[in-house]
Amino acid sequence: MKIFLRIIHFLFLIICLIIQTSFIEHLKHYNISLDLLMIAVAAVSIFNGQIFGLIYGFIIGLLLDLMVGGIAGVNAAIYALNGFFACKIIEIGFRKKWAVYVFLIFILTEVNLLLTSGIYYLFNFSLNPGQLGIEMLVSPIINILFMFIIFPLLGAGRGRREEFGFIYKDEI
Amino acid sequence: MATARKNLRYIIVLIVIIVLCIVIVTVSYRNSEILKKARSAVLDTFGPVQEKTYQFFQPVIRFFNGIQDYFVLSEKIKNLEQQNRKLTRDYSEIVNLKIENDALRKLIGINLRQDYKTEPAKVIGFYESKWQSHIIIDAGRSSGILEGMAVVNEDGLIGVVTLASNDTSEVRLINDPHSSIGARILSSRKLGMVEGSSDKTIYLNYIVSKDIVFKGDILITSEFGELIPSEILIGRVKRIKESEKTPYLQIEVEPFADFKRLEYVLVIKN
Repeated sequence: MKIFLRIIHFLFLIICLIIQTSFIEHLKHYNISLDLLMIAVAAVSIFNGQIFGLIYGFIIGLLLDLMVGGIAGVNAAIYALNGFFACKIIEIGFRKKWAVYVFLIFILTEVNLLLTSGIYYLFNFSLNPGQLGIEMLVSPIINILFMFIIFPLLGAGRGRREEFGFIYKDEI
Repeated sequence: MATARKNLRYIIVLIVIIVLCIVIVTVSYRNSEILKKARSAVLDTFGPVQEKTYQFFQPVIRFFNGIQDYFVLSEKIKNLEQQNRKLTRDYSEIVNLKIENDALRKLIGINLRQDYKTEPAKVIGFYESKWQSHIIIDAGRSSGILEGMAVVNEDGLIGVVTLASNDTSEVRLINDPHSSIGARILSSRKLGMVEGSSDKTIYLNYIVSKDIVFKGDILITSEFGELIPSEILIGRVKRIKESEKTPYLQIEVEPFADFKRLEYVLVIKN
């Protein structure tokens, strides 16, 4: 059953990857900067454990890099780290609560933005601090909103029957 | 003890993956052939699914465009009517000039202007970040598309093919920070480079401060591009700034093509 779920989760990540490149990127024209893959990788990691979070994050990030050009390997490293730390936060003692998930997505979004900007800056790309600041303010809000859709889809909120007014079943 | 061993195992996997990523980044930065092949394979594998997904979400994208249009519609109609009147006025003059030009070219033995050979393609993917601005189209090497070819739509130049796989291609848009295209100011014939930036603003660079450039001047591709034909419309000058730090003008360009509404494009194969 676990293997079956892991395959399902991997397919879910692939679907998220396709949706990200075919649709969500369009929303950036309207200043809606959503990182669906980051949320999905974090959810999959919490659900499947650190190793799977790491590996899934790496594979999905690499596929994204290969699909969209740019410097390959950057997204792979970032999503792998996302997968690792999402699970680590839960492991170090935080409970599987919505408040923790909100905090997690907030931290991951900010770290991702800073890391990506830093890496690209090292590769001689220009950096606009103002633009980065606005992104650091807006992106977490949008990502957190979408987290409330993605996490229940993957069952990362299982075991929490009622919190913030949301009710989930114990099983997927 | 068991937890510590487990944690160590996780850290080792993390380090291995990070090292692997550093290797991939290095290989990618060196423009390796292996990575190009991998990119082609990934594009071809995901191409058909991406196309269907793109079609599925098209109504939503149109809906968003529609909302935006609603607020600027009356101004847009006014501008289009004005433009239409001007174009109607110019049309007969242009037809006459073309006939005259063709006749004179024949007379002095210069080749007549040739129409471009084009390949129509559908946009099936899109990716935008501060550092890149790419689209994926559903035509590739099997349709005769090569890297470096220009991609246009009915409004003008959109970008350049950066990777052509069998059935799909990746196109770098002209607002990508890496994009750099030779351009000419239509009226003054001055040469410059149209370059993208991280905030997606397009600039015409290397026009010296003493040159006179007017707001509204039209930019076309220059004749020095290897695979990009000359005289393709790029955009018009939106803003001009002088800077004491550089000897060049800072010219902001408004592209004719609307990157939000890209659905069908043409790849110029000449």
